[in-house]
Amino acid sequence: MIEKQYIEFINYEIDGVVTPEQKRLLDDYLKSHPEAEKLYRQMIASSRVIENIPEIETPLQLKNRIMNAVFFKQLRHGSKSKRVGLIHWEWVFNPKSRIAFAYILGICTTLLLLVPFWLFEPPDQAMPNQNFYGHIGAEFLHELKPLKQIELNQPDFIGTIGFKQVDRVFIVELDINCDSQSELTLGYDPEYLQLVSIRPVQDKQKIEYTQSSIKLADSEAMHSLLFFLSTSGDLPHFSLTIIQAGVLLQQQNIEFNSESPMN
Amino acid sequence: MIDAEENRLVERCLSGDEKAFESIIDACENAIFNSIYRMIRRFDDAQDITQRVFIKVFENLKSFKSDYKLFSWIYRIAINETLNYINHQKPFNGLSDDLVDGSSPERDYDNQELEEKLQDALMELDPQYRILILLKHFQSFSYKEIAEILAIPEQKVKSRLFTARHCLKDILIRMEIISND
Repeated sequence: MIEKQYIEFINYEIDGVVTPEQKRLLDDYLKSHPEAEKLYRQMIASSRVIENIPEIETPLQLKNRIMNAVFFKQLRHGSKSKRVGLIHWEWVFNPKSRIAFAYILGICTTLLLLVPFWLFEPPDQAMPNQNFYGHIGAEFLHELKPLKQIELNQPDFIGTIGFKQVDRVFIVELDINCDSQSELTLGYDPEYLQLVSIRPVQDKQKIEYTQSSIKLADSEAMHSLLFFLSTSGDLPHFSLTIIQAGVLLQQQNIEFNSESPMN
Repeated sequence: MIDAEENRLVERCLSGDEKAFESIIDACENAIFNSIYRMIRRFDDAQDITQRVFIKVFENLKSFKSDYKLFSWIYRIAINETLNYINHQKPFNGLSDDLVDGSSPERDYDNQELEEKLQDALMELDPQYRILILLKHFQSFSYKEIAEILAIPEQKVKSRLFTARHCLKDILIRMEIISND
């Protein structure tokens, strides 16, 4: 058991405050007490080891952080008018805002990197054949432009006929409910128009073609799109004839006015 | 920094002289930051606490009494802030060291390993004892100054410091940093 007094002397020596008298007493005690001598050596060794821990370098920006924080504290305690203009900038100087800045920067960078993909349009495929060359591409330069819509309101013959144009294509949209003895004939001038297709072709429809007209008959419903191609580029005209049970119900010429596309 | 000089600095700070406050920061920033870091071993948090300490210093300069040393007074604030932080933290698990910004490249691996072991040993000490070791061995405060900083009697400083050293010695032996012979 080491006497408390000598433990104190050991600590005083470590702290450099031992008096000569205390030092003499301690030395004498250590010579006759191996246990105390062992403790003395260990305490001295541990103190030396601890004092060898190097200093950590203080971050360079820490002082600026502190000064900024103090500056904003001053503002807070200053006049209200001063605060209103500047206090909202405090967060800019807050080091924790770095995470937010990094996050925003990351999003912006990602968006910038994605821009080329959004703007990229695949090139038309060139056909590598000497006798068959050119490009296949799709473009949709013009919008579908409604030209005219005719309301049909005859007994047993109700619906609409719409005329639309996209570039050189004229589309006649039939949306008619009628009885089975009805006939609808759409006449056109083959010098200006060429019938390209009818979509969809319904099984029940009876379609008769001539060089300048198309007749749909014996159908209870006419829901079709008729596609015409303009061969001249001028606005075409159509003639419409509706016959029901052998009686002429309606006959009219349909012309379009380029200034007012739809009536 | 002698007392008269400290008082002049404090007066200049109170009159709104930013340069004076910068001088105070220059004088003790390093010691405060190092002690806080050694107490908590978290680099970023040590910066935050250091910042809080100086803001408190700035806010409370009016209440500073010239019968204390300025550095001791600042240190006292730092110790209180650090203990508050430790009390609000989960127990240290020994794996959360986010150092090592402070390490210089020329420091060799062995030294760095030893430093980490020593820091481990420090972290095993009770915070009350750790503070005493830091104040005495890292900042070389006298018993009287430590008593002022911790607001405890000088005799208590001595007894706690001796106990702290004894505990640290046992930890260092267990970690085979010093010999048991």
